[in-house]
Amino acid sequence: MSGQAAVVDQATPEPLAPMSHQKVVVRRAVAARKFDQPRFLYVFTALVFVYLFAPILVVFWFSFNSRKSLQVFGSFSLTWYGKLLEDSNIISSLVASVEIAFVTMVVATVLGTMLAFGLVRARWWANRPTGTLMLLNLVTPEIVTGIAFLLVFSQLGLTLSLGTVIIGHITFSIAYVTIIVRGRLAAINREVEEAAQDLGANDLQAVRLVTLPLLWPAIIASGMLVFVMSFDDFVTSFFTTGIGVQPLPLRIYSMIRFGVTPEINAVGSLMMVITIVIVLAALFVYARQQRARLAFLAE
Amino acid sequence: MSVAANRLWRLMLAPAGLWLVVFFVAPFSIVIAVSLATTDFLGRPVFGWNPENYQQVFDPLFIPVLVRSAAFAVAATALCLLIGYPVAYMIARFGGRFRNFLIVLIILPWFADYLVRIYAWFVILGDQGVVNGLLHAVGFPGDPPVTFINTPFAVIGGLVYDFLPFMILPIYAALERMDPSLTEAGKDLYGTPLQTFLHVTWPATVQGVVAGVVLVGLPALGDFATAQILGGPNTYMIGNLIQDQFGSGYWPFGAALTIVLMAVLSLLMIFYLRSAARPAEASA
Amino acid sequence: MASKAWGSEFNRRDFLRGGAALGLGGTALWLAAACGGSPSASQSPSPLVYPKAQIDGDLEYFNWAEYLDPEVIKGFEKHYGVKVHETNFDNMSSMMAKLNAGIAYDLTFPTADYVAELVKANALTPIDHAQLANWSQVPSYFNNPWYDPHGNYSVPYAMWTTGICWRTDKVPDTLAGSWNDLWTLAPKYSGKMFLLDDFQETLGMSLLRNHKDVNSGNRGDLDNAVTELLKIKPDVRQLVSNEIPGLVDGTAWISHAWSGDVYQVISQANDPSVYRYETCSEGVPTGNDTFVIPKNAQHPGTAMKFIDWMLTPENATSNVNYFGYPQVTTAGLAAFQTLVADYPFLNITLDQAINGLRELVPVGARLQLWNNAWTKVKAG
Repeated sequence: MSGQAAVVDQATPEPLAPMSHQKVVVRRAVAARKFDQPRFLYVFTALVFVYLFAPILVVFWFSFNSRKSLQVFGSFSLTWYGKLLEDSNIISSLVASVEIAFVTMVVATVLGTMLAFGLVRARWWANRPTGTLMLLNLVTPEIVTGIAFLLVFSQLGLTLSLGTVIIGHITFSIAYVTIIVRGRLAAINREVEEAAQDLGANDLQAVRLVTLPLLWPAIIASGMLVFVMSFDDFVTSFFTTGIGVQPLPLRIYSMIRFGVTPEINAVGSLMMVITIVIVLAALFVYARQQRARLAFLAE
Repeated sequence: MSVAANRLWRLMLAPAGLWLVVFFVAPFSIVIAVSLATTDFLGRPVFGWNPENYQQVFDPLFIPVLVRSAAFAVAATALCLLIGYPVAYMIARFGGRFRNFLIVLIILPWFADYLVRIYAWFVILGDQGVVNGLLHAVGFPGDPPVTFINTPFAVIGGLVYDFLPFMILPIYAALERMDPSLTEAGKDLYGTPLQTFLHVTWPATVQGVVAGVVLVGLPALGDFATAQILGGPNTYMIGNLIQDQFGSGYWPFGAALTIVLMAVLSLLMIFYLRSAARPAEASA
Repeated sequence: MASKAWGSEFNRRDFLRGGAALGLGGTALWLAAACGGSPSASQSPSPLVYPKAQIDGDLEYFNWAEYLDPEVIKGFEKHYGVKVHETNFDNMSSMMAKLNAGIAYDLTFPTADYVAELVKANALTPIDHAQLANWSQVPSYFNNPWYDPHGNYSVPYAMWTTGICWRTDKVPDTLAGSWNDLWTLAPKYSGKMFLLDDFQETLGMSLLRNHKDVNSGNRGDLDNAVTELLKIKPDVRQLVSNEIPGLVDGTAWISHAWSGDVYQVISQANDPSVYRYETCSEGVPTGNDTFVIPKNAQHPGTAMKFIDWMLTPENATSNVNYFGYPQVTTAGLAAFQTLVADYPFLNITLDQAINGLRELVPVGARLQLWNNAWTKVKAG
């Protein structure tokens, strides 16, 4: 239909170039049309966003309910958050989850970054198999790897505890770090490193002084991702947890399984807030680094 | 590259590689070992050669479970595709400078914990939840007006809700990379938007769609928590069957199930890789 | 994107190679394990070494959910300055699975029949009654109960019966005091019924309804029991390990239930007067469960102190008022009698629990049969 062609014409600026480098401007005139594909899409997308956010917003909303019910909102109150603070099981689980996530983040980021370097730069027969292994690990469902851990730890006589949970988390996290960092690493221009070497730096120094700073945004982004994934992880923790403290998602699972209480709304909301804060912080740091780098290059 | 430099990079590869071998490969050997074991009277594995466990996996009794799991996974994937593609298209084509913001918004709910996302459905559609409360207040009959939890719809709905971002992101990436001049040309060639879509947009993005299908379908097949919490005794999935073997049943059988599941998913992965490799070869 | 990169450096050949490596590695290790030997069988009897009843660290506590008064736990933590780390299990099989995985819990609560097997397998730490200041509270029968000769390894906790709970406001029918009531009510109240997620209880109940032995090892009996259960499964809302919340908030109107849980439903419900509980003429599963200290417990001393704490009259009374079961101590039993004065249908006597219908944990060949049957019920 020619009408549609006109819409496209108005939507696409004159010099044709890949969209990612252009700002596509949507005119008001487009919206005025009767049969309007964009309008239907807008509404549909808006509905989907509502669908995505409504449940968690409702959880968030009812965490402040003074009453136990999920149907009647009494008054705004922090009762359930108060109960949370009194519940030592939950507090210790929260602390344990943070500890696990932190250790996982540090170790997985280090191992994953190193693996990225190895995969991109090394000439070795071991590259292919290791890369394959990493991808296999990525696509294997957590229930399968979780069970594998359970069996290995129990048959080896290792006591299931925080340590085993951390091992499990690190194992599934490495692949994520490697993929993110590797993408960035492959895009970095080797000439800068070679220039540093011409100036007298050895390989390791060149990496440390030149490549790593360029890599920081990717490393930090992947680190934050790993932290969040570990903090939220359920399936792997389910199979590798033992004595000591249960990670928070397992605690929530028990609460859901054995008796739904409104405290879950509060715990869930708390977890969401923590996670979102970390993600936003990561995005902020990443954007800052990008801007600094661009500013540097512009000079 | 100098020998010294190469040695450095190899050294970098080693620790993570070793970790993966020790904590990813080796455990599978034990899974296989346990899958061929039997148990003592307390339920602890006794190693040996007992392939009956694998025979039990293919017992016709479990066919309904397999079919159901496949059906749920396919339904969830299809719904994700039907919902996700338009959204990805909308953001890629018409998002403008809000594109990145919108994509972040799509991903944001995913950062709420998996269990909280499942639980949120309780809150909204449970027997004592928000929707039923509203319906009851408005005068709908039935106690409760809508029974949603513990039905297959709840499980599929939960799966879709969980995995939607994984469908949207790859499709969005593929759409974003598509050259808009292609669409232009398509419109000139084919005239109608539907034809353009079928002949231009869809083929260009099919890679992203397949990636999305893999990222949604494979985890959906292995899921157990959604079915356990939102489902009932009639939504028993493969993941639940495996979970129950380790939770309270028979480890060797559970191990055999796990190996078979792993094998099936590997086949699907190979299938995906073949389709992914073809366009790469074509463009080479 | 990633898919293109994958296509180029990670192709089907590598994938198959990787899979083959896993397979070969697996076979090699399996051979090693098979030749290497199996887990140790029970050792020959040796003199019992009792742990001392003194605080030796935080308590790893492993129990049903909502089965011990949290206030009593808090009291223990405060009094002794230690923490109690609580983990819950769904049923006895889950408990055994976790114990078999080697998780080092300090204190857990198996039913009497499980204790019998655990004792035989030498999987428990012996308990010295002399070190429990409040042992005198426990009835003398338990100095030598049927499941634990000389009571070396356990201290009794609580007694129960299993029956059917329903609410008269939603289910006005008159029940017949039989397990068959579940079958009559299921189609009428489809989607409002719970069954217990416990293979001993649910398979046993179906066997009893068919007038078979509740511990039958006969394949035909079990097959019939399974077929009957599958008939009502479409009407069953959930297989639960905790029926209390569903009964309280109205998700279920009828449930296969444990007696004390019904008391908890009554005490939490908006309108307690509508709930009833019946035991069934074909057979009333009953018994007691226990405190035990697993063999690999790392803090057996604290566990001993906790058991002692639970046996004190004040704590036993407080606990009974919380969970509605008769705790097997003089004070506990007395408190229970006061409790059920208003609800005589929940009553259970010591004699009943000791001599009543016993569910026995399946072992050996019977375990295989029962696991199979239960899997059929769940998957069918």
